[in-house]
Amino acid sequence: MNRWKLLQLILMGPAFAAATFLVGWLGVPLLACFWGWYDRIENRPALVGSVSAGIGWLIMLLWTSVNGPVLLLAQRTAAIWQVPTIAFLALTILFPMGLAWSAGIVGMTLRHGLSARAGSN
Amino acid sequence: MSSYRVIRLTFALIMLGATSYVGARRMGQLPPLGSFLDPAHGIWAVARAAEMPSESQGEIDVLGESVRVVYDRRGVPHIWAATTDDAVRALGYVVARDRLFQMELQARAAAGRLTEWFGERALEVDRQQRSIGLPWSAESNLAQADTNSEAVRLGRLYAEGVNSWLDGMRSSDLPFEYKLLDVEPELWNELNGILTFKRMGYTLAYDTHDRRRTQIERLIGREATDALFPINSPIQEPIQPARRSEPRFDYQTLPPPAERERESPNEVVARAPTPSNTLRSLPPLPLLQPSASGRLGSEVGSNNWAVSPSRSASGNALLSGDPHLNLTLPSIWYEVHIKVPDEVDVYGVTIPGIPGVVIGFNRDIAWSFTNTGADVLDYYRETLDRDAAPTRYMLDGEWRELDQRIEIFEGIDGDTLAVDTLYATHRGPLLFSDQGVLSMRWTVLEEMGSVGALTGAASATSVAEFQEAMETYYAPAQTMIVADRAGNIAIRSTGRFPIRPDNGDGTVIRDGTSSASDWLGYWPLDEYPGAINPSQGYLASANQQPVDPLASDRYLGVNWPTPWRALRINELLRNNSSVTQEEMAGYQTDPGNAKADLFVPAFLEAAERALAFGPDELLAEAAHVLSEWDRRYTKGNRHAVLFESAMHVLTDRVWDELVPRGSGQRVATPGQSILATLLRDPDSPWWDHAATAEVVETRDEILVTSLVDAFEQLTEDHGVPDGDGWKWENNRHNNVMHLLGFPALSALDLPVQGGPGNLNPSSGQGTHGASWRMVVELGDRVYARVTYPGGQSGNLVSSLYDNRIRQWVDGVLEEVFFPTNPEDLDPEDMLSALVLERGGYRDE
Repeated sequence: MNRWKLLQLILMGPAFAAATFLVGWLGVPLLACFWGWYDRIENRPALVGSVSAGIGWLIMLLWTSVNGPVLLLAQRTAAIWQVPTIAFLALTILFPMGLAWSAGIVGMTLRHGLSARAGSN
Repeated sequence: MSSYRVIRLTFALIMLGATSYVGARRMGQLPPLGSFLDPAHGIWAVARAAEMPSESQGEIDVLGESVRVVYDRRGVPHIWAATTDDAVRALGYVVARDRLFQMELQARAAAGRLTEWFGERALEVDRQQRSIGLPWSAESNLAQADTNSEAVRLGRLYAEGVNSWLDGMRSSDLPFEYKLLDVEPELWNELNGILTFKRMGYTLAYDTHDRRRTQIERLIGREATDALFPINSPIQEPIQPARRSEPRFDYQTLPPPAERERESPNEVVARAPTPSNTLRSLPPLPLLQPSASGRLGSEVGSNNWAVSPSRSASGNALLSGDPHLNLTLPSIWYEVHIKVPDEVDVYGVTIPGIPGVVIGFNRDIAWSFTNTGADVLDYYRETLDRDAAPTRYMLDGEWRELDQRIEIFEGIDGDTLAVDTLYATHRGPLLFSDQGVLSMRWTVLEEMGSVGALTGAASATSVAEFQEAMETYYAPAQTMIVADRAGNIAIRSTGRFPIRPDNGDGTVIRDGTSSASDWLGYWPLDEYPGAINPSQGYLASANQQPVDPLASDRYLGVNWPTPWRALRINELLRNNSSVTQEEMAGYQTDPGNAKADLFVPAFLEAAERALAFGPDELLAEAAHVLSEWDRRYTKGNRHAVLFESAMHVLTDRVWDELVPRGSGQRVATPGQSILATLLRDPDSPWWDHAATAEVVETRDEILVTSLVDAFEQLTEDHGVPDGDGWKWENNRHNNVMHLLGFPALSALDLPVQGGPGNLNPSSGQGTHGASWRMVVELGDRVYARVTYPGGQSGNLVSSLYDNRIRQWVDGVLEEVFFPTNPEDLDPEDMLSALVLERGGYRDE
């Protein structure tokens, strides 16, 4: 991973967090789609977007945990749904990742079309 | 075109569609995952609001002057306002801040609008609430009320405070339950307060005994029904002191059950929960675990008592109160202190949604309530002009127009689930039952609540002023105890008690075609049961019959709870002429039980007589175990479970005549005072067990077999006696259920000191009990200790959500902070400060 890619990952996480904060969860597919459409260097923009979205939500969870009992909340909510706590926490991270990856692919396709050369994932 | 890219795009589009769909739409009971999981605005944000900031500001649009609110370390807000109006606004604000979901849920339950949150699952309970006219009457009461009346004005001020909180609420402040259900809070209005008050009326004063009585008569005849469900309790320890040094037992021989074919269960209203029973006893709508809660136990109620200075160790008046209600998280009560200079300085508990302190104390008086249990609901058999879509009803030979109202039940998405037409006569709503068309008159429907009376009580400075303020109190009827700093104590059953025609009997369904059946008015105030400064030096109530019929035979109610708790508290108070406030607190969880004192000797004497005829190893062992019991329901006691099991078997066997043929459930169960009456009559036909047609059992045989069978069953379930399985704490629990019935948010399987009939009662599923405990000493300085099962916050991850559960289980009370000025509160005892200003909202 070169420095540019590393920087991308570092910056994209907060970007997804900011998008979520500003426009709610729909900010995730919107930003991912845009990133898939925009990125010309990264050959795996959908994957980067997906990982970044997960990181972004994880950052927000960590920030919330500084200000409140996140783990207790996870335990109680998971118990309501009758799933393991870890599964509920994982769902919170996997959900934006799935959204971002699929939206990223759509963004890539919008820019490059199905036949043009485009990065893979 | 790359086929790989086509497949990838197809897969991505499907995935995007699927994740967006579950992100935006409900899936069964799951909320839309997008907004729910969103760490910035969804449920995770709830964690950020778990604890209050040390300082914050809020704004209320119409506030007169700024209001200072200081939360002490127990989470209790102390409101300092310049005017009562501002104090009530601030009360609405702080209660909404902590209990918004509870407020709206309770009001919706009373309005029959739960379907809008829960869909078709709630349709039956909503229909039931609307069919008895709760929302109809609330709206009518409000429409007819003077807009400047105290109750309307207070409701409006309170709504202004609640809505100011809603206006400025951040996403993290929206309670978890709203996010889970994917619903938004509605603006609060005066109607919600009235509905909340009526909901309490429904909980405490909705009694269908008259209708059930007809069914019982079909099984055992009128004479036996009157004896088994009497107007007067056979054990008299009345609220209004009878000037005796001990209770009066009025045992009478019970007439035998009428010889008749017992009807099929389809013809009898079975004891299985009707919608009304279910709604009253369950948390409003247990969603995922509907079996986690149970019906209202027959032996629960409330206690209050007061001791005059002549019998207290300190020479000050003492007062204790512990109303027994649904145990829920968050609690039904919210603790608060309100101070308005020269107007009011009151501390106590409010019900979220009601603009005032319901039970509490000020610098001069303390008061508490128990439910009177008076009969304030009657049914009338009506004649309509036609069966379907009636328009008129017959009264005094003429047709009268029926009032009509269309009730629309909306679903989660605003769709129409059902449309009902309600009808009402001049008495009240019509019910179409298996007993015909009945109209219902009920005091709870006739008045919009008694908030004004509560406000007057809060600023009263003496027993006399308190009682004067409560003269306007309407419903649900409550037995109100009060003590003041001058050493006066008083009690009075207060509310509107109907005067009925003829012999005044309220147990029958009356003829609706005659206006002569109507109520003639209400009891005059000076005839309300009560007493002031009795010579015995104390007063007590525990839902028992208020007046000994030897003192007054005026009909007030029927089938009164057996006064086990009243017997016990009177015994404790009689035997202590120097009561301390610590002892008062101890009495609230006293392990003694008057029922055990009466029935244990009966079991043992029956066993002794049986053993005299010949050896019976099992009976001897069972009797031995029971004889070793100290008759106390302490958590570690290993004998109480045998007695309770034996009582359970005994009850089943004795009252088998009340089980319809082919049904496994009794239509109704007579009070245990009737069972006590039966002990005096060893050959009564009621002892005969119908299942053994060839044998005619007597008292001793039923007592002995009940004891032995209970002992055998317990041994089978828990092993040898004295094993841990026999411990009371392993057999009897309290369950404090979350309002939505989620076990994960509830406090379950809590050990309890007390059982059926104890001052700290526990029966059924353990979902009812002492919802608030308070002991107040009214000396130069008011000293009060309190607790309730739960915590001040409705936020499920707040440290104040369930922090008082442990102390409540242990019977420990906490001294309250009752500062005169904000500065009097030690900074170490302060949790948070809030300043409310006039204007648009801002926070932190």
